Amino acid sequence: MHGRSRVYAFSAAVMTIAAVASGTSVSRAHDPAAPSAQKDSPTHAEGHVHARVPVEYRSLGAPSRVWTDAPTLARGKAIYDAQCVVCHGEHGEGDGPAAAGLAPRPTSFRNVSMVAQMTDAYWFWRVSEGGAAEPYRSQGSAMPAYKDTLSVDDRWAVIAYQHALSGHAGAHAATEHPELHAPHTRPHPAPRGLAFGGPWVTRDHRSQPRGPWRYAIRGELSQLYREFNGIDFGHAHLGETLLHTQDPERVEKARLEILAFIFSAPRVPPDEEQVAPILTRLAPELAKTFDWTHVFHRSLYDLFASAEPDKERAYRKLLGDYLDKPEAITPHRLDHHQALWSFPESKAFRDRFPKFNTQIWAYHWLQAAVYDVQLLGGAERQRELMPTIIAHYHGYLRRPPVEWEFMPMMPEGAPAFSSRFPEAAAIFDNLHMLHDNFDDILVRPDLYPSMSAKRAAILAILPIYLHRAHGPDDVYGDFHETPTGGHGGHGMTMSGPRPPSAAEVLAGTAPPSDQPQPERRTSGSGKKP
Amino acid sequence: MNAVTAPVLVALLLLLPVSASAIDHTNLDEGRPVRVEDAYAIPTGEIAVETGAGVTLRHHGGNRGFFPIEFWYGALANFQIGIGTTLSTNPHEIEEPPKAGDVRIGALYNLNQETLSMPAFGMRVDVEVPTGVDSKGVDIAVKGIVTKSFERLTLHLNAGYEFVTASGRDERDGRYTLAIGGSYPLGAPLFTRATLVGDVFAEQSLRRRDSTTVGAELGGRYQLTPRMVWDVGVGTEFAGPGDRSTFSFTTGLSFGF
Repeated sequence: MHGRSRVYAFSAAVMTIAAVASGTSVSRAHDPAAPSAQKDSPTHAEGHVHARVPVEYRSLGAPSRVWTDAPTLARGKAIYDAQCVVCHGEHGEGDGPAAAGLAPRPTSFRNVSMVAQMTDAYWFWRVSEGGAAEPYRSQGSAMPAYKDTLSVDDRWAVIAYQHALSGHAGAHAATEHPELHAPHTRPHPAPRGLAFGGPWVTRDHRSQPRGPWRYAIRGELSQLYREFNGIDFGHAHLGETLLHTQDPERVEKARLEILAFIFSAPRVPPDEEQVAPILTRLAPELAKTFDWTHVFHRSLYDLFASAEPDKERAYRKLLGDYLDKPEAITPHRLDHHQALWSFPESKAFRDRFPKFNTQIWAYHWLQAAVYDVQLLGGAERQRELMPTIIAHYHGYLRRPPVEWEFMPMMPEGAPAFSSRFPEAAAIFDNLHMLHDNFDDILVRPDLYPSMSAKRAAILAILPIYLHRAHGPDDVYGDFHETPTGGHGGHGMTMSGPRPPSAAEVLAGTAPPSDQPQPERRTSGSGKKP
Repeated sequence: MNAVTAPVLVALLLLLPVSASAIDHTNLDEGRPVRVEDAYAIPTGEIAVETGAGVTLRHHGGNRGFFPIEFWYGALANFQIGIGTTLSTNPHEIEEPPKAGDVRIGALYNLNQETLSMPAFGMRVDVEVPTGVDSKGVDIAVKGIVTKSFERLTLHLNAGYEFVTASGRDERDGRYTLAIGGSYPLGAPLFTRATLVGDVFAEQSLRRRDSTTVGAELGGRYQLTPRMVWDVGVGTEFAGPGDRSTFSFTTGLSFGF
């Protein structure tokens, strides 16, 4: 490498990493979920600032062989001896000859807990960008960026060797680091009277409830109908893909396949059992909840596309029919931002596959925004306005809004609808959060390595969402959004890059959807009237 | 009803308006286009109409056209009831039940959803009422159905027994039926509108002197619209009595309402 000062700088950066990681413990901070979890509480008792891995690095994972591959470790040792040992010491204890002159002192790779918590992406980012990245530059880090001087393979090699110095003999995976337990994550709740898990599950498929509005959207808003067919495929194909692989290239291929499917404007809904044959049989209890709530979704679109004169009454009827079934999702506003977003696997999909994740969130934005357009007039008026909304949505598909850090909420995309029909708005937000919980489980094979483990995790979370668990006893009351807590958009204000309302899109005041999303504040108006 | 009315019914059904929400082209029903069926009922509240036309070329005896029509209703959760009949040309030449014009009243109950470890099970009961040409006696058929998938390949086992209440001399008062088949979605996951389906089957002959009929069928189901499935199939009976079918062809449509 290139001079003593760079070596010192490298040491300082790695030390910063150590400080970051040792400040707190997340479920497994060297998984992709960790940095974002850290961001939720950015400053720890020790005063270390935890930075979120930038989007361009977030989906990176080390080639699985590097951790135990002898030639790779040998190459990593050679790099380490040449570049790192002067600060970190021969055995990685942070006691190299130059360490005494550095403040803060270089990290010790013998800190088992710290090393275990560093994600692949975080580690690679820090070595690549060094102290030039914030917040480390502001802290005075002189760490050079090694992205121009070490090849990708060499960077993984030295990271693997540093990992080996901690004493971990195996792969850098959660199963190799049982010491990791996250104090600020919460385990999946134990069964509270709604236990699933038996092998015998009834199918219970239901036809869409009958009414004069039935199937109206297909005839009245055919373009939108086809978009929804594409979205159905998108959810199923994603889930099945994640069951089989976490390989970024294969997952990206699936994302592009979904885009092609959506842009083909499919006339016929996909058969989700054929798109995702394993997924739908892994947890049919969950599939039934998804199916029944999607039927409710489509029934409401049909209703608002129809000429039904008393839509309020029809809405109440459809809502009652929906909630009457055991698979129904609760209309209570649940605590999406905290209680449901702090499981050990939470945020994993967002952080590891940000483009794919925000592509899915774009589906959810469309599904919300459509409702406010439907309140603006009859089918003819909707046909005039809907192409603008769909074009905005297509912008999100072409360039997923990776700046969004949380899913679009119904009161953001459809504030008018959410105000008039708060139960449906809450149900659909809960539905979309359930999708996120589910995807997070699928991208953590380290936590849930077997099909039975995945199924158990899914069935531990599912009851939280079910309406029948939120009766008078309300056994999952601790998952409700608190009056002052949460940021779910139900009358709350959210900041950061947030999606626009349908009205903003129609008025031309929304930020362009195919460009980086700017910071803005959105105010939900979904308070119950 | 007679043989003329069936094509008219088919034509009328083709003119019916179709609507959204997919009727399932992977949900196999007997005769559309092969005899093996899956263990699942149609969704609760759904009405389905299945109809078609076909021709069978016989090893000995005259060739025959046939025109089935069936109505199903998802009456309860996982439970469907239905009524149907099959009309035929040369109805007097049909020796074994069901006879042309017999009314069939049926019910299918699905016990469970298939999971990764557990197959789906279904039970079906049909009562054949002797309303057809030269028909006599009520026949009752019971059938057990098992469906098990391996990724996208789904296998189906249908095993049944048919009780015949008006059997003649030298005839059995019942017979077994067995069909084993498979279905596979062509082009999945990116394309899921077509299903290839095939089976092999055995049906004991009612006439004691006749051997068991053994045959095979192959066909496809294609999702024309969200509420309409088109099917087409061919089959042959390569063992059995002299009047067995050497080749059969059928095509039909299924509608969901």
